[in-house]
Amino acid sequence: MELDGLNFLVFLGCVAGLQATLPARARAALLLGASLVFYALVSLPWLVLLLGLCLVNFAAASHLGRAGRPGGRTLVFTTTILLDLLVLIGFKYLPGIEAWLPATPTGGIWRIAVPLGLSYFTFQMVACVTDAYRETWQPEGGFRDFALFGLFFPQITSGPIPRAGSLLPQLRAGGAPTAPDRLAGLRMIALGFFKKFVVASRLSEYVTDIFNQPPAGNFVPSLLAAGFNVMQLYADFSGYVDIAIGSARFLGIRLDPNFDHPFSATSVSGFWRRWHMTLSFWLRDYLFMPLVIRLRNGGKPGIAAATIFTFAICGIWHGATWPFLLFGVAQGVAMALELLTKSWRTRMIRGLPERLVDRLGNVWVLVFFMLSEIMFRSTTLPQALTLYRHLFHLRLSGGIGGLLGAQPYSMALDGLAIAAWLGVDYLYDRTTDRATPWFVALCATLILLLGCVGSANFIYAAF
Amino acid sequence: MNDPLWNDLTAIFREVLDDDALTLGETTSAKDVAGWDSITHVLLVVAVEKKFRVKFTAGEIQKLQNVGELAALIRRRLAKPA
Repeated sequence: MELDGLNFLVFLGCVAGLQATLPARARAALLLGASLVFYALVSLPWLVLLLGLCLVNFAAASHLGRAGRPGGRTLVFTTTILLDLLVLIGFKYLPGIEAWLPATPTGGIWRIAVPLGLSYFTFQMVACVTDAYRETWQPEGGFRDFALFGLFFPQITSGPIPRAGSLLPQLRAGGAPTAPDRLAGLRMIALGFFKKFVVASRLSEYVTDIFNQPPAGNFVPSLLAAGFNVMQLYADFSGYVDIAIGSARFLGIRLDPNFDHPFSATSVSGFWRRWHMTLSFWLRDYLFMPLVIRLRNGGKPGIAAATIFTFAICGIWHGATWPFLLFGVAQGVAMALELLTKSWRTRMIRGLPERLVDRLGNVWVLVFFMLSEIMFRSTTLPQALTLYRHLFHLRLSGGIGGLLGAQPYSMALDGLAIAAWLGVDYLYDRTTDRATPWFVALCATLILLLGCVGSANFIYAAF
Repeated sequence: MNDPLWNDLTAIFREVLDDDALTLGETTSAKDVAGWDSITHVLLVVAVEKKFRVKFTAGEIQKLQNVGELAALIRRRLAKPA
């Protein structure tokens, strides 16, 4: 079951209805039951696998969190983390060796699918066990609560990646949504559906066409596709997360935010504190900090190396391809350059108006992300290089068709979708509880008029 | 606060964070100070270790929650080197 389907809304409505009728002590069990059903509908064997991993991680975290410093802490910690990572790496990267495996008994080739949400689940588990090992979090409650934390259905497919300290106590209480919670949840779900079906799905058609075959003789279509690519990815991912956070809020559970106006950042490092925040913070706490602390005597070059390594891993996490690796390395290099040139830049901009400096920073972030996202979107290195070549080959020919690289009608609808996004975003920040039904109705109407339902998959589900 | 350790800490924070007006309290944390991110955190630790000629473990650095805890850690280390 996908979050962006009508059947999910029916499922959520049923869970919320039952939650409202059950006594408080039974609500956590209801949420766990709903999460098990949700995942069983995806795949029963995968559910068994995730439950098994939950059990192992729960046992490890409980052992590490026990008072009196029991023996074998490092062994328990290392073994559990290795097991988590081996399962993730096995499922995520073994498909790359499918071609090397012998034929199946029926003469076909092996297909190894990645369990839905395995990455996010693994990040959660690693964080719990590490926090217990560091003694910064003490496991409370039993396995039922821990399994619910691992499998909570609104967030398991796409994050945000929760921390046990903030989510587990809420889940243990089972959620007690107030009327404002329900309305805030509805607004977020409506916004998420709008972003997904009106903006992301519509723009994906143009982006896919141009990335697959950039028109020669005119750089404008490639430039538009690079810009639309960023908008599509942002609308797609943030829209899906809006549905996840909104669904949880509808049940009275508050998840951590995952986006905070990323394009208002004035540096690439600032951007990553606003984009896919829960992943960025996870990378910071469980990969970058342990690494940089060990490299700290290398000074700024040591910190720069740790930054590049962290984001190279971030790139590879998306997939074992050259474009993903280069995308990650590019983020790390940009942040390393920002660090190494900070003093020089501070001297250079002294005396300039702050607003001007901020706007220049916004432009740097936007242009850098637009260019690096070409790598993220491309399935092969030659595909990315072709688009870069068309982008920087500043030729203009072919009239209006050449300029747009598509039918003007389709482009007008894309423009309309972007304008509607700006309007809906503006209204979302200003919609009160009383006006929520109108906001939901507006989003539904725009989806009916401009939406491309079912035309594009959720991009981040692949990770 | 007329405490040599506290004065040294304030001087280090002001230099690393490039803010001559910065004042520190026991509970001051990264949330309260603009520009105090994970990278600055490491630069602060390096500067503190150099100034006080001490060495912290990775676990100690990652557990620090605020300036008061950092000051307490320095005092412990100065009193009883690792």
